[in-house]
Amino acid sequence: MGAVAELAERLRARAVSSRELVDASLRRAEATASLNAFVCLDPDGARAAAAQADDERARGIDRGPLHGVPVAIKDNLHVAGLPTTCASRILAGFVPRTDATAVGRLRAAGAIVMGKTNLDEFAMGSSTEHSAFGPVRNPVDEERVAGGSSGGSAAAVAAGVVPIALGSDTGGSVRQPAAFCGVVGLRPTWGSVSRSGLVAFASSLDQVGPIAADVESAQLVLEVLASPDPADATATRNLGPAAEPGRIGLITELADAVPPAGRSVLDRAVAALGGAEPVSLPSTRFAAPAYYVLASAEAASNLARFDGVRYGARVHGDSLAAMIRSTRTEGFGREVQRRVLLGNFVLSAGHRDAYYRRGLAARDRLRAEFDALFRRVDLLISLTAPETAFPVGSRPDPVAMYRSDLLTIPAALAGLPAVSVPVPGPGLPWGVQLMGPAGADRTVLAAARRLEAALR
Amino acid sequence: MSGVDPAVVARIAELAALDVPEADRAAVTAEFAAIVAWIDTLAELPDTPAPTPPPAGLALRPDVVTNAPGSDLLAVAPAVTVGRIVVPPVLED
Amino acid sequence: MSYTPVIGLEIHLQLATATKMFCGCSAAFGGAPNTRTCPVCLGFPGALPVPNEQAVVLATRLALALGATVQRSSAFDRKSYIYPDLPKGYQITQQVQPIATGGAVPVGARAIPLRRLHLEEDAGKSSHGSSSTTIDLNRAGVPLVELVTEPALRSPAEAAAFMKQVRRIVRYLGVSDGNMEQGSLRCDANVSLRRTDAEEPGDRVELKNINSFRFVSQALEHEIARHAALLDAGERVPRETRLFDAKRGVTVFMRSKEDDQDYRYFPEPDLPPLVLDDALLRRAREGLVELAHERAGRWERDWDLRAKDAAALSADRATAEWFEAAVGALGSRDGAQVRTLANLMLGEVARRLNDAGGLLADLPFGPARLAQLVELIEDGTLSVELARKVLGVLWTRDADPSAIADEHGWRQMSDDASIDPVIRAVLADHPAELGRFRAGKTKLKGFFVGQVMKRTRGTANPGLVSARLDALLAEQDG
Repeated sequence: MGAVAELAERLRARAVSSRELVDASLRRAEATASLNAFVCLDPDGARAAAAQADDERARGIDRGPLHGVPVAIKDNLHVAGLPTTCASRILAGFVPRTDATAVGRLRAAGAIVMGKTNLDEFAMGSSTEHSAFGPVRNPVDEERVAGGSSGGSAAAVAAGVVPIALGSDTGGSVRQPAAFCGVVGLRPTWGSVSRSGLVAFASSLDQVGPIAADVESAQLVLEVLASPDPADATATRNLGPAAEPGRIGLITELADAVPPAGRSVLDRAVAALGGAEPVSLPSTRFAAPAYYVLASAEAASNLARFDGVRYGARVHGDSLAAMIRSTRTEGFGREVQRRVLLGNFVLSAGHRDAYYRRGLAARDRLRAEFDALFRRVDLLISLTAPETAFPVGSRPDPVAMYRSDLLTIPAALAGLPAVSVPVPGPGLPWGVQLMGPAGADRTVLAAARRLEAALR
Repeated sequence: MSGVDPAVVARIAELAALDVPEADRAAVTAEFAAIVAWIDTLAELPDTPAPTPPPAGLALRPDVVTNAPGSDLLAVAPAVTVGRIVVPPVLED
Repeated sequence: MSYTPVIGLEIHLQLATATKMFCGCSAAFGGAPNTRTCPVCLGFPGALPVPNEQAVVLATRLALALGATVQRSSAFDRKSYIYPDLPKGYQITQQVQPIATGGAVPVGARAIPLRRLHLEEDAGKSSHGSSSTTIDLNRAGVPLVELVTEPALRSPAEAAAFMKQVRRIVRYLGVSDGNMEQGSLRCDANVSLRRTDAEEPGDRVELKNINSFRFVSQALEHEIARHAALLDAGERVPRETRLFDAKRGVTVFMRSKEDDQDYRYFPEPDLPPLVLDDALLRRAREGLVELAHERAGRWERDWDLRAKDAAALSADRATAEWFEAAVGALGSRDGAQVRTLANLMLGEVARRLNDAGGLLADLPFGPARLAQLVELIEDGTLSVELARKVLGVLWTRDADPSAIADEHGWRQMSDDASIDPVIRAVLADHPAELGRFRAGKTKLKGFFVGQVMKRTRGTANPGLVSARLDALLAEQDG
């Protein structure tokens, strides 16, 4: 039984109360504070919500498996009354008045928000080293990164502070930290979960997804989140029912990019699932560059609103232009500035055809290639990352960091559902990634559960 | 072929409303050039166009006022006077 | 040297919707600053745009009325630039695939061709001072339609007439208020001068900050003169954007075309393509009405109405429909009756509405009553003067005009048997005047007519009085 289902059973049996769960969660957060997984905790709010959850349960109200279960929220998703920082100085003082749709749905299902988790600033990064509040440390080995950008959420789950957390995945930001921390991370089909209340990084790539101790728990969250939302004109994608996953394809280009240690993990997973046939995704080599072009372009545009005029930090300037420049230069960290520059560059007159249009073309190719593959197989398999968690501070070169996303980027570019399943091992955890066609999230998760069980 | 020099960086920084201090300019330019050199992989894309995906439906919103008059702004704005946001003057740079 | 002006206009119309383009805030004019706002139109992080269905319907309706080709699938783009009243740092517009292309606006005898029509959102308002700038975002996000003409206008007067026609059309359709002073109708102009004997186009200048019909022609006239002076002196016209300074009546440099902004257009990722389904097209078509100039033309043809009267009565849609209903209620639609009806509406009815400051729709009586009134005039029951009196009563309550006339004894006296005795009495009572009349003061006839009208309390048919007076005076002579 998954962690959340087990908690639900204990709560229903009154073997434990939500208040006790919340207190345990707070104690655990304190004990693991050195991980720096949280930007803020909300003990008062959580205790009040727990009291209400217990009260409702006593009156016979049962909101479902998430009723009274603690959850952590990545700090780029709005929780009403708590600051949203996006791990950036530029948003100082910003407190949203309403929950993000995804958060609201979790709360309506009875989940209790413990606090906001740390992330790479504005979700831009693959290690959670680019936070204005310091890096997140991996619970498995605190000298190593927790992955990014949802490092805080992954660490909080892996450290046992909460059984489930929300993250956001743009190029792998839910899956890769889940892999690095040894937990499950799901990226749902793009357009199946509302992005309203998620601070946008790259709109056509961003997706809200759960990080959980196990696949079943991740699925319970997905079921609460995945349905259309009138506040998001792109959230119109409905998920299909779970189907028996038949044939599995192993993407050779992705498998070849992985060192031998990882390859053996992948082979183990393939064997556990009963085998996979090799398939080709020829445009793989364009995927990461295309992703960085498109994501940076959208990011540059989405971050143009941070100018100190209407909210957030404001740095004095004698003229409006000076104020805006100073505010942004002091408020944005180095990586964010890099992406904003790159994004403006690829969209600028004279460069748009060479970069942005080509990025779109590469994306279209990948989509078409995936479509062709899914006419032959039902699922695709690869590793989540070509490595395990690396030491904090060991990868200062941005391009080296960007390249390491190559396994998670293709599914993101194509808007496909993808889940990372941890492979427990002697050393640092690896993650195995399963991908499916758009809308087949439940099928992907069914296979993930089989894999998880087989690997246990 | 990346065509990234300090002049380009300066122009892009202006579009991006970011300051690149004199001291950092060379380093930023070099780093930027390296990133652009990497994304230049896209130049190897074959010219043949790929099929574009069919458009998803766009849900429209009924024309009914749903937002009560009030202001989300006042709670978070850095500087407001008589209800209006205040910023430094727009000067010719 | 002879030059031909080449003028194109870019017009922005605020659509008459209840809410903004991408959020449920009120789109009404005014309001305390920054109160008609929400996270979406304030550009808060995490907020997403959701398009206004009615804005799409109205834009489509306008496109259809102008004969444009409606694109069943169009798309939104982001146009990026930094300005304090642009909350997101970009405007959502339609650059690549607008909702409509082509079409034309009739101005005089010409049909001025349009290039395109598209949807976009408005920016807020900034007020610039020397020590600070203040911003009100109530207007940010209001739905706009942008109309772009081909550079086919040939004179400042024609450009102003074009703007007036656009206003008429959009008000008729109920698509926009079309008010230049309030900013629901704006225009930027592009103007160049071509040497009349040459093919080569001149260098183009963009003009901004034109906010009345008068300023349209004034700004263009000034600019054309400025170009001509430069060209006559053998110089080139620098390609730039200029602002119209209404106080001084001149255009001033704003920025050079070299400094043109790089808008970095790219497809709006938060909005899938806009696909118009049959239901929406039907709704757009339902609101299509015969436009003012079409209606006026029809009235001139069918009813022989004078052009001036037809234009005046068709200018406002409510009036036009009321008039048309009244004509419809006439038993016989002969030209004379329709003209009488038109005269009543343009005369007495208009005067009373102006004085009282009311609308046709608020009157207690309907168009059919006016038709009845006209028929009573035509059959001689009422003189025009008496009809005005009846109208006065109708203004306060609805009733059959015939009954009102009877109540007040306002039937026109139209028979000799009633009138002759009154005439005889008047002549008998004014022997001195009669004497002076016979001695040659023929102008006194008017006096006698007046006296008869007075004694009959205005009910005598003046034409008949005059004729009977002649007859009786001649009788007495002989």
